[in-house]
Amino acid sequence: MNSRIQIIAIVVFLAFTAIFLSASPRTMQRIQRSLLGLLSPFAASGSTLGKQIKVYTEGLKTLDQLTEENARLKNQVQRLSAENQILQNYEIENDRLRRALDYRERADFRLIPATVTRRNSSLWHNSIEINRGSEQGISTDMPVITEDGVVGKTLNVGERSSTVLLISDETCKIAAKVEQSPEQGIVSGERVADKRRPLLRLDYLTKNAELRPGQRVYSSGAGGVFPGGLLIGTVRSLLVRSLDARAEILPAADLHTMENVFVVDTKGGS
Amino acid sequence: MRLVLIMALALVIAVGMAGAIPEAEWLGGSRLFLAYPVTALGLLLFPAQGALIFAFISGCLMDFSMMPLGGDFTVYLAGWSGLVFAGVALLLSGSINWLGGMRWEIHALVSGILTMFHLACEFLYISLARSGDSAPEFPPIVAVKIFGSGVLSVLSAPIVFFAVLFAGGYWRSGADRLERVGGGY
Repeated sequence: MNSRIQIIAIVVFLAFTAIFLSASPRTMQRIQRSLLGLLSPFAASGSTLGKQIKVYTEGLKTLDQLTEENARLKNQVQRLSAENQILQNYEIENDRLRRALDYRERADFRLIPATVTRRNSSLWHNSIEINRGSEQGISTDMPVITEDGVVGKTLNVGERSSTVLLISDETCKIAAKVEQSPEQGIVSGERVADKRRPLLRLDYLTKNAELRPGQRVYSSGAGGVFPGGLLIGTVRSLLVRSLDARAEILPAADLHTMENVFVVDTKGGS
Repeated sequence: MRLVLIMALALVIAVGMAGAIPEAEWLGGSRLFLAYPVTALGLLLFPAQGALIFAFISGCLMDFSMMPLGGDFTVYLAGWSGLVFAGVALLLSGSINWLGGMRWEIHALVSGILTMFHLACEFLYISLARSGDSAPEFPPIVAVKIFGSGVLSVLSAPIVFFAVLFAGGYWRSGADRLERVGGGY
């Protein structure tokens, strides 16, 4: 009797597993969204606990440190305001010149602010969850950035949350160009990268590429997903191989600690 | 029934909180996955039929919570982890008497082995799916991460074991080991 129950259990188990393994990707995405919604209270409480520990261990500052930081931030605000003023003048001038030349209007984009709600714990995948979804106008393959640089792109979009594939993941690829250089290539992450300070790879450079550490790498806009001119990172080292060259890139955005990001809606202009 | 509920809740909490636990830099970036000790305990605790159900639920939860699904990025099928856990469950079902009952040391050992086995299978699965015709690479840092995560599972397993022992009400009776649900040894 007992062995019969065990055989039935094995058959039922295999049947359920077969159903799951043969389900369509769309069904899988729907199930994943529902399950992540179920797990989100635990993820949120864990995240809050982690933040509180971090605040406690790193956030305690003396009055002198706060005064110093305040002065530095005031200085930074003044500098950025001045820069902003100059850039606004440039923009007006740029628009006037474009009109004068009857030049095609530059594509505008809208930034959708989002908060990181969960980080993927897998050793081999690099992704995060954000608290914005289709209800806020997000769809798949939208670039995600911070004020420092590119973070990744949206992957699986739910109604109120989305999965963002980080640039440090080996499957996230961005067409890129290097400043002050004719070199172009493809930036991608690594599966076993250090998650705190991951390095990216810039592949398909020419064998004669002359890159210096510190040179900035931007998206070229050739891939279709990322618009051109988004900062990806800076060159760290160059490895010349028999047929081509590969550069190691330090990401500009802090992928490990970022909490607020912007989803770039290239279709809906501001 | 109480133990089943405790195990189900422990699994959901362990999977849900996985992302909030920082990685251990001193162990090559290894991570503590509490879901493995909880799964190992479920596989040891329930009879074969129950262990298979637990393996299936645990495998699906872990796959869905860790794998970014969408478009060309889906490299493996959600639910495959259930097969790995089920294989381990059937092995344990036959060998638990030989191991001398369900003591915390056995649970810690099984947790470590399950963690390393599953992570290694996962890495190989991704490598084979993505490598095409070329042979998959296995850099040393991968072995460090897998072994380190296994060690962290071994170290955390007694906490899970005694927490369930306590929550299940066995603590007051002075028990130092868990009874398998429905007997069996």
